Amino acid sequence: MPEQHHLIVGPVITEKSSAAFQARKEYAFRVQAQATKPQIRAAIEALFEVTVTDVRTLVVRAKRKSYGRYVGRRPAWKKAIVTLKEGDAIQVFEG
Amino acid sequence: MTAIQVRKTAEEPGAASLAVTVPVEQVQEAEARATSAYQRRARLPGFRKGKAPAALVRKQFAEDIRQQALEDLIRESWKAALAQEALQPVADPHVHNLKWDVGAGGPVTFEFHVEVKPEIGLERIGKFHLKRTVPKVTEEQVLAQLTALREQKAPWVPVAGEKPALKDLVQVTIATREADDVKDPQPYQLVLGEGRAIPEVEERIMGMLPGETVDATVRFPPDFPEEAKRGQARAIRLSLQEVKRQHLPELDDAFAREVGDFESLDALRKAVREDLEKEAEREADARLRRDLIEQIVQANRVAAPRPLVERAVYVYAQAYGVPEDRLAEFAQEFRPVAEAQVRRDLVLDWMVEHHGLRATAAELDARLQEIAARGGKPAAELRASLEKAKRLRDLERGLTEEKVFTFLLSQSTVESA
Repeated sequence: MPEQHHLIVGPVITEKSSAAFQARKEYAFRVQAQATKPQIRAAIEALFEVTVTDVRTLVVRAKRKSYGRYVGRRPAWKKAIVTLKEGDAIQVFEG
Repeated sequence: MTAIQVRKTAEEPGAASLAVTVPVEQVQEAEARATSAYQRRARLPGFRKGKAPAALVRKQFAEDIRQQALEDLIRESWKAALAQEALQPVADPHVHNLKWDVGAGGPVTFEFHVEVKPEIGLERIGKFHLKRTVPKVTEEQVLAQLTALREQKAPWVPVAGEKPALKDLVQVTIATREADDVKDPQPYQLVLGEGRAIPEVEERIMGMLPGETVDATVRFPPDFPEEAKRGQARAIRLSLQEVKRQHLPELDDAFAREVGDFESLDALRKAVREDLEKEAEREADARLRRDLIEQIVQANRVAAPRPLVERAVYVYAQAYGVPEDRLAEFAQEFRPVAEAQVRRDLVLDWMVEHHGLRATAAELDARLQEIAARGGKPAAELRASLEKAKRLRDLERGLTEEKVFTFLLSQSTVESA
């Protein structure tokens, strides 16, 4: 199993995630595919010194990509949507 | 909203300094404007164009946004300064001592340094005594002009069996000799006495007959431009192919017809004289104007403000393409001319302003018509071409100056001599 901080790959900063952040204070992260919800909770809490109230995860399906006559796939990846205790914040998303 | 504060800190004739304080609210507003401008254009991964949140854009383009906000503020401040202080700037201002603590969110302060048109008051513009001297055109001047024309028209006639003299055109081949080898012969065509060849070679040529070939050793003179060759000796082979002498045409009616559309020599002579006289008149007028300005300047103690003089020097330096390292020397040399120029412009501008002497559109039109008629072109076409070359303003300026001088000269007595 990878180390804690390796579980979290990075923040997901897109139009969709920004909208969710602005509306409901949800933080989206790209995480290792093997990471479980308790591990993610622990990792976020340790890395950012916050209290996590909820973790939801989903696997973003691999997309088919064709390059000329070669057809391939992009890897599937796991996204975690984390909600924090009121008053806590993570800097990356604040801008 | 608190306004931008502008305070005049220093003033000398020709320049002013303004201290500007932009209040926090204005700074923030400018930043917000710049951010939203960037936000609309920004294309960031994960976002459609223009959909990225302001916070993210601000982070990504911090430096650019700051720059744009600052430019905005400076523009606005300048506008405010112009509205507040009655300044007549001659150029865009320079910004100095800029202070902006980005993190602290305080006000922005800076200074404008600007070159302004100094206030001058001309109390005495008339009742000067001036002399307009048109030098007489002498017969010698006409003759010199005619001789120059003859030289221009003179054909080169080959001379045979004679040694070339000064001012003759010779065709020679010069080759270098090394032991018994004669290497790369080069043909030259030169007029003797013009210094195109080194003196020793010219001397040798003058001792030869056409068709002759001699071997000689010549030495480069000590003042030869190429330093490495000075004083060196070269063995050369010289051959003189041809000698031509300029044959001045006779000064007669035939020559007059050849020169141009002249009936006879007398007509040509008359035309030359008229040209010279016109030239003399023009020069006399120019001198008269210079004297007049000089007198006005002295009577009213018009000073040439340093910033304007420096500016004029700089403009001239640019026009002449003076290299950076020679700038100081050039400035030194050019200063009196620039000062005179500045004083003249100040006087003229003052006259235009206080006596309403600016050339009107109708006058400009009339002048355009006149020039167009002379050139046989439609006036509209001429106007368009001048406008394109940005010469229309020069023309207008010229007209205005003419009006000013006509007015000024009517105020003084001019004695013709």
